[in-house]
Formats: sequence, structure tokens, C-alpha cells
Amino acid sequence: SADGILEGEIGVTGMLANVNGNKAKFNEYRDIMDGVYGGARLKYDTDNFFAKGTASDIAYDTQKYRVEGGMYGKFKAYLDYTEIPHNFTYGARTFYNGAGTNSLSFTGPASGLTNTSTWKSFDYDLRRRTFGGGFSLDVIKPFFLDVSYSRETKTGNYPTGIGLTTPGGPSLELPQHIDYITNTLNVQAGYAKNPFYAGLFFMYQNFDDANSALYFINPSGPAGNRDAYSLPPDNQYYKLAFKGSVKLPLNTKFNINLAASRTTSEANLFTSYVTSTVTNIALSDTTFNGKVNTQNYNFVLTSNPVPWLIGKLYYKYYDKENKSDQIVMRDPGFAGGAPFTNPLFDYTKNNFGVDLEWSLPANFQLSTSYAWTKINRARGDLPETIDNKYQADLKWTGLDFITPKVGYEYMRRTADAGVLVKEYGTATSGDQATENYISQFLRRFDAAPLSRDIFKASVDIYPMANLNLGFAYRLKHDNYKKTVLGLKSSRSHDIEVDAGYSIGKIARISAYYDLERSLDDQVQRIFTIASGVGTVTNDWKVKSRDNSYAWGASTEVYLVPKILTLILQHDNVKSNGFLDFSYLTGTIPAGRNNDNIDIGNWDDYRLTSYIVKFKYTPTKHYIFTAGYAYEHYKYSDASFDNYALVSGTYPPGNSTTALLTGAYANPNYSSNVFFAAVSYRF
Amino acid sequence: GDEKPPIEKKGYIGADTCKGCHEIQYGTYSKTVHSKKSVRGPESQDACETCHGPGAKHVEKGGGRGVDIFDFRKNVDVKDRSAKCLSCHEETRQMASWNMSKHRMKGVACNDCHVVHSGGEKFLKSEESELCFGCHRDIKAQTYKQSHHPIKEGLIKCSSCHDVHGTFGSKQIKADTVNELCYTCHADKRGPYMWEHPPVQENCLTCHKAHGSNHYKLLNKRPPELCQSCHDWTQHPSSPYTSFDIFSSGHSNRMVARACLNCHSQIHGSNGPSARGLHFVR
Repeated sequence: SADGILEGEIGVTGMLANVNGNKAKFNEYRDIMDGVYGGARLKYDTDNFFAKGTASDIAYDTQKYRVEGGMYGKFKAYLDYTEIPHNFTYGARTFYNGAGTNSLSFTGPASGLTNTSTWKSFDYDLRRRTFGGGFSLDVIKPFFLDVSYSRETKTGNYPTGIGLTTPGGPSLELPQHIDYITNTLNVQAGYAKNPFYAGLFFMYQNFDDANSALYFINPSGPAGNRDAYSLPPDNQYYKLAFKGSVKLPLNTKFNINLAASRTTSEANLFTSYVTSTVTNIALSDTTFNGKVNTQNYNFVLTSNPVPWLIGKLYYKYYDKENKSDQIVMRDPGFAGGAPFTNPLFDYTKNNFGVDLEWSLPANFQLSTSYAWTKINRARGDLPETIDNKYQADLKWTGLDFITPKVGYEYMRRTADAGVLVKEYGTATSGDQATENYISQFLRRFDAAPLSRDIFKASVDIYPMANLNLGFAYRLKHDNYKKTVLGLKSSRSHDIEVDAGYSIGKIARISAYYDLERSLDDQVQRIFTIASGVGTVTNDWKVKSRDNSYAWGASTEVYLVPKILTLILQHDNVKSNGFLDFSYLTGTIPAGRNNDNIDIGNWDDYRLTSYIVKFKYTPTKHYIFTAGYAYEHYKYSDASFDNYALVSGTYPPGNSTTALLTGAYANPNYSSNVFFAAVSYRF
Repeated sequence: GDEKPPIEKKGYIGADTCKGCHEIQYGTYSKTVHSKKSVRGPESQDACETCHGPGAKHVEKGGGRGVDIFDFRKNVDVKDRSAKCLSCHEETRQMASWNMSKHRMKGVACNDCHVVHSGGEKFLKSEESELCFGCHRDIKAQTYKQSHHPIKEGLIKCSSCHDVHGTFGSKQIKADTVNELCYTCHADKRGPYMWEHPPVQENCLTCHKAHGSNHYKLLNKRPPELCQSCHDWTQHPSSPYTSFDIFSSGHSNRMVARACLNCHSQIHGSNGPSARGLHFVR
């Protein structure tokens, strides 16, 4: 029309992709293959309203579409559709029939299962497909109303595993069929006009699992039995929140957030299970009703009373209350058939703190903060922790061409240790004497007493208008001083360097380097109750070392300014892990010593990539792109080297046997991708 | 409802005058939503001068960068730069928590990330993740690791989880707790389950990293070390799994492939029967 502007872009990209090796890893979150990719963007804009639409990767697993429109100052609305793939392993194999369903079976005797040449092939991959829409009203300003809805389906196969017989028995890897639907509704309504802001927020999410169980014939059980693996239960989640604020004198604002949520689930419980036999269990109820309520309250006061100080004072209360069913069980195969129940975990968190930003003389900026956090858990071993955290950062902006920063953080966590028996009951925690013994020494790191130091320093330098340099260093040290068994310390160093340089209108060059070194130290104890409480066979420790590197460089060369550009890019990501084991006390098993038990490749990998691309823009309407991309991924890990679908002997099987499917195995690949694209803008 | 009495203004020259020297800037501005008459309230009737202030003295002195005109260069006070934007945007749901934002506290101005003349998505200076990584270099390196959320693939963005304009949550996440945020996409992990794993129910980040990891499933460490950091017991949980337990030597199912997870795959919770569920193997 006379006052409207129509603009857009239509493009197609042709690709030739040659992948040697693991195509699933290459396309973990992508869908690159031989073919033609299309995309478009269209916008119609007037002084009063707009409409626009985008489409990308049309018909591929990463396709995305969005249309939106509205009247400026009145309303906006949108519809969108996205797909996200997650590919794990193609060509996985199993002796079961029915991969891709929730019922797995096999025929013939279990003794014939290890002939892997007869196993069937399937893929481990997931697809998320999300359709959504929403609208927001501006016409009622200063009131607002936003409504959005989405429906996501998630389908595919995912690797899972079970212990076939008693705890510690042979393991069996299974394809879990995923068929989820998640509906999400968000409604936000409120009022926003100084000095007040008030909003009500409602969220409803409904998770629907088409399968309540994965049924399978347990090859260790009696012939023809059917065992079951529980799958995530359907759940409904409701959350209602009020958020508000009011402006006060002295550039001060008080903010409040009051929220409550409820999650419910329902599951039909199994009344038997299969190991080497079928065991029937007695339940007080065959239906489990899950119910968790949360409350969250935030109160925050921010103030900028004088130009040289910004402050924030806050308090947060969070309570998770577990009102789920407690089922009384009697299992002749466990705890001598004595009754026991499922424990309910919940916790309460109190947190307050203060942040102060000081503008000091001579262009110094000082940040200081203190936070106190107390968590009370329904958990016997570490029922209460208290954190005290102090932090200070100093930044100097006295010169235009350099900005140095230094910082330090210290946290101290105190926790009184208990034992798990109080909440978990003797039956569910195993032997109480074992619990009492180990609880003297073991501190689980998520809630263990801890002192944490973090040092950090960085500098950004702009020596010339066309040159920027950045350096950063960070040291983090967690010291679990009271831990005798478990994770005792964790230390990491992180160094980052990057640089960018422009050579007039000729080229732009940038490069980066990142090094991260981490070292964990943990101690374990092999002991046996059967020989008397505290009979220790061995104490041992392992130091886990992990070095990560990322480096690369890229350049844009403006061969013909604004018309022809050459883009070169090279990236590397590398990791080198090492496990240094040591027996500390006791008798070392025959043939082993502290030098030959170490593991030298632990999630080692290197991803190398090169991209060469030409971009040609002869007119403002046309963009031509052509290029080549190479990727090489090499993975090495002791637990996947010499991978075998049947590890150990089966049958009769023993506690170390594993019947696997190939999940995550052999991910190496190299790829060559040629691409050419043209897009037309109007 | 938005009508206000006319305010006497001095020193305003009108956009046409600005356009005479700043044609490119005016051209880009005129294509953005800021130029739409329908969204221009009383505070923004003055086109260029709405943000840059009255231009008469600037013109009188023959122009020049920052000469008697408000500009948004880095050496201009952060609060003053942000105040220009907030004069219109403060009274919105999106900016209601800006006063609590870590970015505001740390001296980040609106135009450090946005450029109103670009007209791109959300007026960002560059593609979102690259913009954020410009300062958060350590996070950028993490997202390049072999196990990562699909950020570098462009399938999710930093703003999928974080609200850079401030929230009540720590790390500016869009939820009251980490788990609440994670469950938004991973609703299958929400339960509630009959058999729960307390660290999982309290904080996903006990075992996982949010941005990227060298270990699959974004784990902080590989099993069995991760699991043994907490689980010491008689029999197999307390045994060392070493080079004598891999496929080619010993082949223990607690070490090969997914180690502990070969059997204990329900570590997020289970409704399995009896001790099968308690030990997360059904």
C-alpha cells in the first residue's frame, strides 16, 4: 500500500555432506545432509501495524517457523513451530524385539542371546516438536496482559539400564521409548505505572507420558516372565505468583515476589518384580499419588541514595513440602520381609544478603556483598547447612584503553552430621550397623562442610581503536575439611585470552584461547560388615585431573569492500582426563600396584573444525555464499575402548556382566561439507 | 489517557534538521519501531531529540560528536545513558526488575547491548549468544565442550533461561529455583516420585553443569567418580574401578560404558517396586 513497506528475504542453500564415522554425533543437534535447505523472512510494516513471518531449514529436523503481527501500541500475537533434534547413536543393537515400543521381548532360550549377529538395529535419538502461540495487549496500558501456550511432543528412543538380578548383578541396557507431550500455559496480567508495579503470573504445565512402564522379558528370570521398568509419571504443575514493586524516596524501590506451586503425579505401582525369580510384594496401596507444594517469598530493597552507592538488601524464603503418599511395602526379597516405606524428601531455605556497589575516587568501582543461607533438609546425614558468603570485586576505569578487575569470594559452609537412619528406616537404608559406621566418615559433597575460595582477575585492553585484548584468570578451590571419605577437595584454574584486530577496511582478525584445569581429590573405603563393623579391606583415593582447551582464530578479509568477503575460521576444543588411583591401606589385589591401575584416557576428545567461506554481495538484493567446512572429532575413553555389546559371560552371568546396546559408543567422525547459498532481499 | 498538557520546550530543532547531517542514522531510525507515531507517547514526540536532547546549541556550534548534544558513548555516565531508555521502558513488565539486575548493579548500560538504530531482533548489537559471550568468556568456552545445551547450534538462547533485565532468582534465571527452571523443558524429571534422590530434588546443579561439560549429560564428573563422591558402602559402591575393570581387562559393568548408570539409570527418581525403586534400577 502507499504507506506500507514490504521487505523480506528468500534463500536456498545447497549442501553436499560427506561424513565418515558416527553420523549421530556429527548431527547431535543438527540435521546436515546432502540436500537443499530453504528459508524465508517476510515483513510488512506500516505506521500502525506490522506482520512478519520467518521460516528456516524447511522440512529438516531443525526447521523453525514463526508468524507474528499486531498493531503498534495495541497488541501483538504470534504462532511458532520449532523442532530440536538430539541424536545419540544410530545403529544401536539389541536382542529384543520391539525397540521403539514399550514392550520388549525375545524368543528362544536366554542362552542364545549373546549371538550378537542376530541382534536388531535401532537408533537412539529424540525429537522435540513444539507448537506455540500467544498474544499481548498493550492497548490497556498501564495494564498489561500476556498469554502464551505451547504444546511440545518429544519422541524417540533413549538409552536406559537395569540391574538384572540382585543389587550388584548383571546389567542390561534397554531402549526406552519416549513419547511425551507437555502442554504449557502462561498468563501474566498486571499494572505498570510509576511508582507502582503489580503483576499476577499463572503457569500451568501438564506432562503426559504415553507409557507408564517399559515392559521387558528379563533374561535372568524364569522363562516367559515379564518385568517392568517404571517410566516418568504424568504430572500437573500449577504456579501462581504475585510480583510487585513500589518506588520510594531516595531512589529506592521495594520489590516483592510471592509464589506458590503445586505438582501432582499419579502412578500405578508394580506388585512384583523379576530377578532370578518372580517376587511378589505387598503394598499398602497400589497407587502412588505424588504431591509437592512449594512456597517462595522474596523481599528486595534496592536503593541509589547517593551517586556513589547502589545497594540491594534481600531476603528469600523457599519451602518445598512433600505431601506424597508413603507406601508401606513388604518384600520377602528385601530386609527379611519387614515392612518399610518410601521416605519423603523436602527442604526449607532461608537466605538473606546485601550487595553494595561503591563508586570510589580515582575511577575505582568496588562491589561488596554478603549472603547468609540456611537450608534444613529432611535428610539424616546432613540435615542442616549454613553458608556465609563474602565477596569483593574491584574495577578501575581510569583510562579509556584499559580496564582491570580483581575479585575474591570466600564461602564457609557449616553442617552438623547425622545418620540417615532417622528418616529412612533401617530397612530402606540397608544394614544399620553399616550406616552407623560409615556415617562417622562420609560427608556427601552437596551438603558437606566446606570452605571455598575464588580468586579472579581480568583486564581488557584497547591500545588502539582497532585492537582489543582480553585476559582473565580464575581460581576456585573447594576444601571439604571435615570429609574423611568422599570428595575432599576440588580445585580449578581457568585462563582465557582473546584478541581482535581490524586492519582498516581490509580485514578483521580475532583469536581466542581458553585453558581450564580441574583437580578433584576423593577418598573411599572398602569395608565389610560381615567381618565385623569397621573391618576395612582397603582405603583408596583417586585424583581426577581434567584439562580442557579451546582455541581458535577467524578472519574476515574484505577482498572487495562491501561486495566480496572471505571468511576463514579455525576452532579446536580438547579435553584430557586422567584418573590417578592409589591404594592407601590394606592388601593390594594381585597383579596391581599404584602405577598400573591409573586411567590415562578419561573423556579425552578433540574437535577440530575449519571453515572457508566466500560472501558475495553484488547488489543490495542478492547475497551469494559458498564454502567448505571440515570437522574432525576424536574421542578416547577407557570405559568405551574395545567396546563390546556383551561384556563378560552370559549366561550364567556374573555380577560384572553387561549386556549393552552400543549407546554412546564409537562417536568418532570426520566430515566434509560443501555449501552454496543464494538469497534475495527485497 | 496518555494526553498531557503541552510542555514548553526550548532548543528543539526537529528531525529534519538532524537528518540534514545524519542521514544514515535517521534512515535506520526511521525503519524502527521507535519512529512509529502510534507508539510515540508524550515522552517521545521529538524523534531524534527524544533521546539525544535538544539540538539547537549543537547546530549552532557546527555539530561534532558530543558537542552540546547527548550521545551514548562509553565515557558518558551509565546511569544517564540508561535513564534515556528507561524514561519510556521502565513502566513495562519486561523492565520491572531492572533495579535488581546484576547488570545494572555492575554498571552495564542499555546501549552496551542494544543499538536503537539497528532495528534487528530486540535491537541487539549482535546475535544474542555472541553478545553475551563478549563479556561472559568462561561461559562461551563451556558451551563449546562436547556435552552442551544446543546454544552454539542456535536452538536455544541465553535468554531461554536467563532474564538479563533482572529477576528475583540467582544468576538472573527465569525461575525461583534452578530445578523449577530445568523442569520447564525437562518436565519428565519433575516427578513427584515415590523414590527420590535428595540431591536431585534439591538442585540439578549438584551433578550437572548448565552450559557445557567434558562429560556426557553435562555431568560435573564422570561416574563412577561422581557417584562415589557421595556413595561409600560395603560391596561394590566402595570399590575402586580402575584400568583393571575396563572392556579389555576385568570388564566390570560398574566401569564400562555408563558405569553406575548401567544399572542405576533412574537417578532422577523412580516409582519402581521395593528395593528396585529404592536403588533406582527399575
